[in-house]
Amino acid sequence: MCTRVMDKPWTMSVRMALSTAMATFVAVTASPGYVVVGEAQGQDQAQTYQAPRLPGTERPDLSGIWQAFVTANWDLEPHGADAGPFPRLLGVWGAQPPGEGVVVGNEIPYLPEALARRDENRRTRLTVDTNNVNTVGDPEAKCYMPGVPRATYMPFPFQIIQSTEKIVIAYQFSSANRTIPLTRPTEAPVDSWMGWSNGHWDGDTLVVDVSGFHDLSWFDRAGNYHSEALRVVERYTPVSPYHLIYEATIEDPNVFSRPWTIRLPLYRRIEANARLLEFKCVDLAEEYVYGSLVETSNSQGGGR
Amino acid sequence: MIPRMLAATRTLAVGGAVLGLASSVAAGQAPAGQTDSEYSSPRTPWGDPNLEGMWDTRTYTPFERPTEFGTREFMTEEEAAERERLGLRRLVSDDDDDALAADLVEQDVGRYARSDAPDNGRPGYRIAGAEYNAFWSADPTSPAVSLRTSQIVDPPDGQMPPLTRDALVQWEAREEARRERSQADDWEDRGLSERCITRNGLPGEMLGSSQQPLKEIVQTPGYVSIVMPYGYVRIIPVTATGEDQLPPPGSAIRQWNGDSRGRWEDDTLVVETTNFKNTVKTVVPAHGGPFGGSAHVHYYPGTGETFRLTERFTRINQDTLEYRYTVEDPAVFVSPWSAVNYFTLDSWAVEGNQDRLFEYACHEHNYGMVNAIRAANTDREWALDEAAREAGIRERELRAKQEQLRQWEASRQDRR
Repeated sequence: MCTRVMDKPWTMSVRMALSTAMATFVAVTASPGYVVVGEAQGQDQAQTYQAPRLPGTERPDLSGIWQAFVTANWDLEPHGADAGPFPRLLGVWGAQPPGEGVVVGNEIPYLPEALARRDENRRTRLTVDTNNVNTVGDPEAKCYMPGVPRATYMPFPFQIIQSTEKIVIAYQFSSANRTIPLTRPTEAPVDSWMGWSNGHWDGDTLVVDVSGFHDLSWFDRAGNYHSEALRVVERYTPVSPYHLIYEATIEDPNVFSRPWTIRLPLYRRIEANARLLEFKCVDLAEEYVYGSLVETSNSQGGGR
Repeated sequence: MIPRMLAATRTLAVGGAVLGLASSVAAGQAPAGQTDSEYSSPRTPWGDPNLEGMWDTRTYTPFERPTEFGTREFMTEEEAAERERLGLRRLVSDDDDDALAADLVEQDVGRYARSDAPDNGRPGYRIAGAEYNAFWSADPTSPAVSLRTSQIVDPPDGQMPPLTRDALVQWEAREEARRERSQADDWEDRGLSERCITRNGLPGEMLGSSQQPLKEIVQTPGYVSIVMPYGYVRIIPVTATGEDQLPPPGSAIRQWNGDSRGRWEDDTLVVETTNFKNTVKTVVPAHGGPFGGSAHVHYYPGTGETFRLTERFTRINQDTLEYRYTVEDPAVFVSPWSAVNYFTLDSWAVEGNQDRLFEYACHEHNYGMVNAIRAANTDREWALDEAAREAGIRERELRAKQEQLRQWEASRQDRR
């Protein structure tokens, strides 16, 4: 039932849509016995929010610079305030803010053995192993591409560039990006960090089916993860000129007992000078990733 | 990931390309440099000139003009055919690493021939890169042929203007500082490309690399985006004709790829880019430092803070995008210089074989860096040796640039 809650809730006035959205949002994340806003109820509401069209086309225009304001990048599940990894160095600069999470139903339905791996990830999230640079530790700390859906709710803006047959999404973090063709779905020729996206319209909702992932990206700093069997179906629904509701259904039979859904609002960056500045963070991560190699070699005197 | 990776070598790819050339010249498909005056650019549904498509940015046109052409901007078709017959026509890569790799292979072969203990048990001794690089360069298509004698059109001699005295002094000082350092004491001894920060910056990255020739343009009202093959999207805010362009961001904001602002001038997209980072600081990287050509404008010491790039994109027919650009950097070049390239709509993509660029995960799997640092720190003597060998290759370019400046200064004296 819960995954149907938000199927088509946006057929109502902007204000109604927003208030209902947030009510539902809070309700579903706050307790398992959440309030259900049914499809029928939504459709009965007064006025449909009509997003402006991409000029010269019939499609809603989702272009813009968007950003999530949730703490999901720390942990998709509900989490309390906590000290960061190096409080002695960073004070509360590095602290984890509390958050109610973005998982519909709160809990990610891990298979039991997979949960142990998540906990191990969490324990070693800031470990760097130079023999396994891309399999140990949180990829974010190393400036690796965040994958989907994580790229959406990192504390960085991203830009949707919508054309008639393709949409490009460019993320500020690590300059990650993906192209989403809208006309003819194709299969991933190879696995990748950001996956292989195929898009289509469901009314005013942009639906993006993403697969072709490898198993290296994480969902958050808490070590939530997936295998190469991951499939993500994203839904971007405009609910006001300044808001999209983002929903992603996550399926991975190797790791989870059933598909599960995250849901959060995205906010338009409305500053007149809003730009996607460069955060090509490689040079900010090199000391973290490679620093131990230099120290080790020095201590060995560089001999043969 | 590299698209269109076939089990072919560059030799095969170029061989295949050459077969296709005669017909494409004969069909007049190749832009000889003139705009088809009948042609007016298609429009997007919202009325902007439509530059969208998957563009092959490779070219056969030499970056600087071969001396036999003097100040002639175009060669005749007979001359073009003769160049092809002599094997002088080849893809010009933005990737001068290829040239360097070839140089290193040659040196290795020489050393191998002289040595009783060929590899001394040293890892990587016989793998200098060229064979490895060639594997990634296979491509079933070929770019159009232009009769231009050089990409550089200004100065009129088709040569890059000399580097300034200041730039050369800085370069020399940084080479001096490099003598203390091995090939990979740490990551900053490697070039920006190996560090997966930028392949070679702008404008070099706009030009065709044989490893990844494509750029995809996707537009929306107010923006033109260029999906770049080496892991980022250039997003250019574009104002309508007559509107004031957005001012650039504050000078504290310095970016590897600068900050671009665009405007439409009739059918032409004009883009100005400033706010570049100074990419070469105190030490020239052991590998990937200054080498000739536009590809490495970024790598000349001093380039960055005073660098302004102006680009003009015009669709001159359905399949051809003319790309003109001007580099101004008074700290580095004695005068501005301009070049022209032609991007060809990629037939492979048009036929529906490829609907996007593939992800370029470079930093994410950069065991090359781990291994380089490990190797250099395991055998520092060898790593210093190798660094000196590469410095020797750069030394030749530095001397040539110094000579070029001397001649330029002398010719100005003569004129006075």
